[in-house]
Order: sequence, then structure tokens, then C-alpha cells
Amino acid sequence: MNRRRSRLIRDILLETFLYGLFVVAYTAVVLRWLDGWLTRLFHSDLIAYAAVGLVLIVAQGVVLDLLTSFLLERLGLGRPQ
Amino acid sequence: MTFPISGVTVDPFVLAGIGFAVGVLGGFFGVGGGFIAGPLMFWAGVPMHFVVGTDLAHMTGKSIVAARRHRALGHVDIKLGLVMVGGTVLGVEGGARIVEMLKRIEAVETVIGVAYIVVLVIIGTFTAWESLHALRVVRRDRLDAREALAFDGIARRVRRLNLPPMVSFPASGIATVSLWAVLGVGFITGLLTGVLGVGGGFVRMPLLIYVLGVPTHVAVGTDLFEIVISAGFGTVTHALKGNVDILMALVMQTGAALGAQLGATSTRFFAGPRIRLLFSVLPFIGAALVAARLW
Repeated sequence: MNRRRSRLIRDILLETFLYGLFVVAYTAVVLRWLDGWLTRLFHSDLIAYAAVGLVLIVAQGVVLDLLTSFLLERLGLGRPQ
Repeated sequence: MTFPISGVTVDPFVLAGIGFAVGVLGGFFGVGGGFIAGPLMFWAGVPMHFVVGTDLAHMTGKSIVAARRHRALGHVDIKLGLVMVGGTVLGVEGGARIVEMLKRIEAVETVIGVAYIVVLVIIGTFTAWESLHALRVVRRDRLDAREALAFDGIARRVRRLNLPPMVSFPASGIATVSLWAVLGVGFITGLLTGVLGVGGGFVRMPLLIYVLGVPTHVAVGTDLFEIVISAGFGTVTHALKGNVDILMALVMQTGAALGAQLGATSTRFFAGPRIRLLFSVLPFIGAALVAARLW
């Protein structure tokens, strides 16, 4: 039981670390390269801004999560269940 | 750092820290965590209309991660979540229009601040009282802690309400219930989403448990699923009204996504009434933060 629990904790930490790296990198890229464009969009076209904003947020949640799953699988580690 | 979209100057590490804290709490309690994030952002100096819109945006992405986790654990009633959407969307739009009206008469900070305090104090008091009562029932009658409720009778009365059309939700153990009761739960929480910029989970979760009789662990997952939809719709409608700083939301989401991972996983170590008792402290913290900024 203890062994199972420590394995679960190890898997969670590994997954969180990997996912964390992706999320931080993604946010840094958006802040560095897209801030000017997003600001102009906010002031000129709110419909496009709303659509792009939703895509950016959903991508950060879903795409990076899927990427983490894919990498963990490739590394033969799987996700904590 | 000054965020160019809203023109607000705030430390991005503070925002990421707020995101992480509400991510852990949100993932654990099955709520978006907006009722804590909103007061914290307001306290950090973000104007209330940007608090409402940006909070919803950061919650959308984070709740997707947590909802996927809970779905993998079998804690999401997809059918119940989808049926509730109709009421939720109407409520969110109504709430967003109320915010616009308050902006026009320059009363948005005070009115929404006071609304926050009132709603949070009511929810915190009710949940604390109920979970303590349920824990006494568990000890006295040796019930399964996951299913113990102090207000089982309310759910039974709601299910007996014969107002067609009637629907069933087998995944939640609901044989038959009026569609209007489900839509009503969605509308009330949607309205809170639109006005306060919260996912509405701190109201929806108690309503799912006490009014519809959904088991606590399913209510947690289904609530997160519903938050994805309500916060997503709220993000779009508030972005169209110029209330969302997407850069600020992404920074918050950085911390929140990680926190949600940890929070959702840790629910497996706790049972129903204990989750609700811990949950009851959070609304009081949120209310105190808003009161500190207003006065």
C-alpha cells in the first residue's frame, strides 16, 4: 500500500513538473510575442479579440494537457490513476 | 508589470500565486475558485469589471484540466451537465448585462462588492452548519460518509415535484426529476457567473447535492464540467464588452493549471461531509477580502 502511494505521488509530481514547464513556456511566448497584437485587437476588434482570447485559454488548458499525456506515454510512465 | 490591455500594474508572480492557490482549492472542492480569485484580484488593485471578465477567462482553461481529471475518475454526469447548460447560459447573459448597467451608473465596485459579501457569508454559514450536522449523522448512524446529507428531504421533495417534462440522470442515481428544477439550478448559478465573474460552483455544488440529490463526488465533477461551459460563455460575452485582459488571465492560469492538477487528485483521500466542512471556510475568506478593499 505504501509503495503504491509513493508511486502515485511520484507520478503526480512528475506530471505536474512536465505540465508546468509547458504552461510557463506557453505563457512566456504569448507575453513576449503576442502582447502588442492582442492589445491592438482589444482596441480595434472586440469580436476577434474574444475569439482569440478563448482559443488561447483553451489551448493552454487542453493542448498542453494532451501534450503532457502524450509525452508521459512515450516515456512509458502513464498518468496517475 | 503593466498589463497593456487593461493598463493595470500588478506583479505577475502575485497573479500566478493567486492562480495556484485557487487552482488547488478549486480542483479539490470541485469549484472554479473564482469566489476567492475575484476578491484577491480586487484586493491586488484590479478594477472590478476586469476582475469579473478576467477571472472567468482564467477559470475556463483551468476548469477544463480539472474536469478532465474528474471525468477520468468517473465523477462527471455529462447528461446532467448538458441539460443544465440552457439555464446557465441565460443566467450568464443576464448577469453580464447587469454588470454593464452598473458600469453605466458607476456603481459596479460597490454593488458587486456587497453582493459578493452577502452571497459568500450565506453559503459559508449554510455549508458549515450542514456538514457538521452530516458528520454527526455519520457517527451516530454509521452511514457511508460519501453519501451522508443533512438535507436529504429537500432532494426527495424536489424529485416528487411533478412538473413536466420529467428527465432522468442514471449516472447521478436520479430516476426522475422535473427539467425545470435542473434548468433553475443552472439559471441561478449562471446569473452569479455573469454578475460576480465566478464559475458559480460554490452555489451550484450545494444546489446539486441538496436540491437535486446528486452524490457529492459526482457533484464535484459535474460542477467542474458546468463551469467550463458557463465560464467559457462568460469569457466571450465579457470579452465582447471589453472586460477581459487575456494576458492577465494567462498568467493566472499558469499557476492555476498546476494547482488544479494537485487539488483534483487529492479529493480521493477525503469523504463527502469533510470536503464540505473544509469548503465552508473559503467563502468567509473571500468575503473578508472584499470587505477589506471596500472599506
